[in-house]
Amino acid sequence: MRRWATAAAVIATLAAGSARAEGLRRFAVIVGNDQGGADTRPLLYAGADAAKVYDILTRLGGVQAPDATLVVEGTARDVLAAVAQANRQAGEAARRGERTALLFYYSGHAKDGALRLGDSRLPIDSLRGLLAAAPVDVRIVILDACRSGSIRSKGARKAPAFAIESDSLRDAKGMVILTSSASDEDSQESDAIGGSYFSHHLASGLLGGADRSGDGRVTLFEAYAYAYDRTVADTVESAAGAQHPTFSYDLAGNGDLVLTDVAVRHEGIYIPRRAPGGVYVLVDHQGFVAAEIDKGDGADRRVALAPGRYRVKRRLPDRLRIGEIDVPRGELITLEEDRLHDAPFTADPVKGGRVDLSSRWSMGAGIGYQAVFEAPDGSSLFPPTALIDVDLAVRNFLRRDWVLGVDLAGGSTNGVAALPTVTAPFHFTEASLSGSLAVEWPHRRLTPFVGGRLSLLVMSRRFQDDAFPAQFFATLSPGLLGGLSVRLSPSTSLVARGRLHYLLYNIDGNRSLGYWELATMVAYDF
Amino acid sequence: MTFKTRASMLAVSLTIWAGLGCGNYSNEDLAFMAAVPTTSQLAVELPAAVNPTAEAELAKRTHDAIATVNGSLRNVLGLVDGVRASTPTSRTDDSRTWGPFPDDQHAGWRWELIVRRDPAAPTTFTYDLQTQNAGAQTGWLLFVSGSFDGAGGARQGSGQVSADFKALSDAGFPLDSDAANLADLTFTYQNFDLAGSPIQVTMSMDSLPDTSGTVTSLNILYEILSDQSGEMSFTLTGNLVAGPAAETVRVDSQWLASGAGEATMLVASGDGAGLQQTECWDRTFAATFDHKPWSAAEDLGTADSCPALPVLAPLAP
Repeated sequence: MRRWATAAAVIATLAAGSARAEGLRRFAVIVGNDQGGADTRPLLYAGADAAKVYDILTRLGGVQAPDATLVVEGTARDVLAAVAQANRQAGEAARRGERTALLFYYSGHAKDGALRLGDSRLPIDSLRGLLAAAPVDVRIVILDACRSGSIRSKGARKAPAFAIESDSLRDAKGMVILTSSASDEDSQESDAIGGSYFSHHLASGLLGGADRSGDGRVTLFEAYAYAYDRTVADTVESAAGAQHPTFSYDLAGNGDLVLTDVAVRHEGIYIPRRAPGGVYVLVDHQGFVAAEIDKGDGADRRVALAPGRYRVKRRLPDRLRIGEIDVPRGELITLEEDRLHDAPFTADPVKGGRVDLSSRWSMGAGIGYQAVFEAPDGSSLFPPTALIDVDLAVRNFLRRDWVLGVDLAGGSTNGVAALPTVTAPFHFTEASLSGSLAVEWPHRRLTPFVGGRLSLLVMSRRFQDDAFPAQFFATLSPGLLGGLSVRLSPSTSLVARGRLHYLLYNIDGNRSLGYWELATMVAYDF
Repeated sequence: MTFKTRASMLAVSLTIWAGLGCGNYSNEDLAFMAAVPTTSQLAVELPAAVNPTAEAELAKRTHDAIATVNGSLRNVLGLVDGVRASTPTSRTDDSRTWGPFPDDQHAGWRWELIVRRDPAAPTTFTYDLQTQNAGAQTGWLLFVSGSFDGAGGARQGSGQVSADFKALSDAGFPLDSDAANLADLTFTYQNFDLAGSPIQVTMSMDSLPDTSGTVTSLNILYEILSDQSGEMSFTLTGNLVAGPAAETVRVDSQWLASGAGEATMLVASGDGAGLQQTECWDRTFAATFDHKPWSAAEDLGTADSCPALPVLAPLAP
C-alpha cells in the first residue's frame, strides 16, 4: 500500500485549483437504493451512503444545492429524469461558456448488466451512453455495487492501483469511473461502520482523511487511493474476500480534479502532526461512524465534519483511547491527545461489530387534538380534547430504523351529556400511557414513519350536578400511527403525527367507537 | 401460522381488549339516576326569621310546614341520594340496580334500589327502594316507590314518590324519631328545569292515630320559582282548635325571594269553621299587618304594608 506514497506526493504537488477555484461548474446526481427487486437481498445502507455523499458534495464539493439531486429509493425512471435534468442545466451552463463536470454516484444493487432500483432496472449500457452524451467537460461516475468493476467504459484504460499519472489529467475532458469492486467481486456492507466499505472510506477520504498532501483539498486520485487502501484492508479477511475498488478513465488533456475542499468551511476536527498515528473513528451523536481517518505518524489531518458532538476512538493493541469532542459551527477544533482517555474494549462506542445504535434515544413534547368517532346517539360521551404529549423513544433497538416508543398524554375539556331526559354538563379528563413501534425511513431532512400503538386510556368526568357520581373508563386501545419528522438541527426535529385508534366502549353495551389524533411536537435526540 | 390460527389469535386479542374495558362511564346511568328526584331538587328554601321570637304567626306556620316538607324529603329521598351516589351494581338494557347495601345505621338491614325504564316508552321510569332484614330471613319490603315521565325533555316531566312508613314500622324497622309517627307520605311533582319555570310539588302526609289529638294528616302543595320565591298551601287535619270537633285548617302562603310575604289561614271545618286570619310580614319575618277577626286586640297595621306579590297560578291538588 505504501506504493501510494510516491504517487500521492506527486499528485499533491501538481493538483490544480480547489473545488471552489477551478472555475468548474459541478452537477451531481446521487442515487441510493436498498432494494434490488426479486432475487436480491435488501441492502441496509445504500440510501444512507447516498445521503452522506450528497451531504459531503454539497457542503464541501463545490456542488450548489440546486445543481445536485438526491434520489433515494427511486426508480430507474427517477434516475433518468435526474440525469436529464442535470444535462439540461449543464447544457445551459456550457452555453454560457462555463466549464462543467457531472458527478454520478450510485449505491445499490447491480446485476446482469443493469442497476437494480427496486423492481426497475437501468441497463448500464444505457446509463453509460447517457452520461457519455452529457454536455459536460468531465464526467465522474462512482458506482458502489456488486461487480461494478465491469462497467468500465469502452476504450477506457484501467489505471493501476498504485501509479496514477496525474499530469495527464490537467484540463481533463472525458470520463472517470470509480467502482467499489472488481468485475468478479461483491461489494460489502458493514454494520460496524453503518455503510458499505467503499462508500464509507470514500466519504471519510472526502472529509479529509485522503488529503495526503495536506493542502486542505482532496483530489479524485487522493480519494480513490484512500478508499482503495482502506477498503482492501477492511475486507481482506472478510468471509466474502477482499474487495478491490477500480479506477478507470478515458480522458483527454491534463488536470486533476479536486473533489472536496475541506478547508473552505474551516469547520470540523483537526488532528495535529503531534497526535499519535493510527485510525481515528469519529462517531456522530446518532451512533453512526461519521468518518474513519487513517492518520500517519507525523502527518496531520483536517476532517471537515458537520457541527455536532462526536465520540472519538483510536484502537491500540491492548485498549482503546476514547473521548468526546464538540464541533461548534464555524470552528475547527484541534483533537489533542489529552482529550482521550484509556478505556477497555467493552467501552467501544462502536460495539460488537454493530454500530451502537441502541444509545440513540430521543425525547419530545408537544400538543395534539383528539376526537372520538362516535355513533350519533353517543356524541356527548367523550368530548374532543386537546392533549399535551410527552414521548420517549429509542431507535434501532430492535432493528435498524425501528422506533420503540412510550408516551404519556393528558388533557381535559368541558362537555355536556345530552340525553332525552337529562342534560348534564361535565368536566372531562383523559390520560393515556402508550407504547408504540414504528418504522421510519430517514432521509436527509425528512423522515416519514408509520407504525402501531397500544394505549392504556383512562378517561373520567365530573358533573356539575352533584347528584351524579364521578365516572371513569379505562381500556386498552390499539391503533395505527404515521407522520413526518423534519430535522431542524442535528439533534432537534419537528414532528407532525396522526393516529387512528380503535376504542371498544363496553359499559352501555359493546360499541366500537375509535378515535383520531393529530399532534405536533418538538423532539430532541440525545 | 395458518389462517385459522391467526383468526383465533385475533379473536382472543379482541376478547382481551373487551374484557379490559372497565369503569362506570355511562350516559345511560345518568338517565336512570335522573329519573329519581333528589332531596335538594324538591326542597323549599326560605330564609330564617331574623328574630324568631318576633316572627309573624303565619310566617312561623309557613316555616314549620317547610321544615316538615324538607324533613320528609330527607327521610324519603335522603336514602335514595345516598344509594345513587354509587355506581349501579348491575345493568340491563332497561334497568339499573344499586345494592343490596348494608344499612350502616340499622344493623341487620340492607337496601336495594331498582330503576326500570319502560321499553315501550323510553322516557318513562319507575323505581323501588326496598329493604330487607337479612337476619330475620324476610323478603324484600317496599318502602319507596315512584315514577317519572320525562317526555317533556331533559329534566322536564312529572313524577310521583310514595313512602310507606307504616309498612316499615310494622316490619320492625327502627324508624328515626321524626318519622316514627308517619304512616305514609306521597309527593307528586312537576319538574321543570327551564329558567323561570316553577317546580310544583304536592305532598300528602298521613300520621298514625295519635292520642295527643294534634295533626293527623297534612297535605301540602307548593310551587318554587327559580328565584326562590314561591307559594305554599297546606291543609292540616286534627283537633287543632279547642272544642269537641276535629278541624280542617288551610293556610295559603306566598313569599318573595327576600322572605317578605303574606298568608291567610282559614278554619274550613270543625270548631270555629269560617274563621280567617290574614297576616303580612317583612323580610325579617316580623308582622307588618295582622287581621284576626276573633281577636281584634291582636290586629296590627294596615293592609298597605303587605308586599306586592306577583299573581301566581293557583295551586291545585
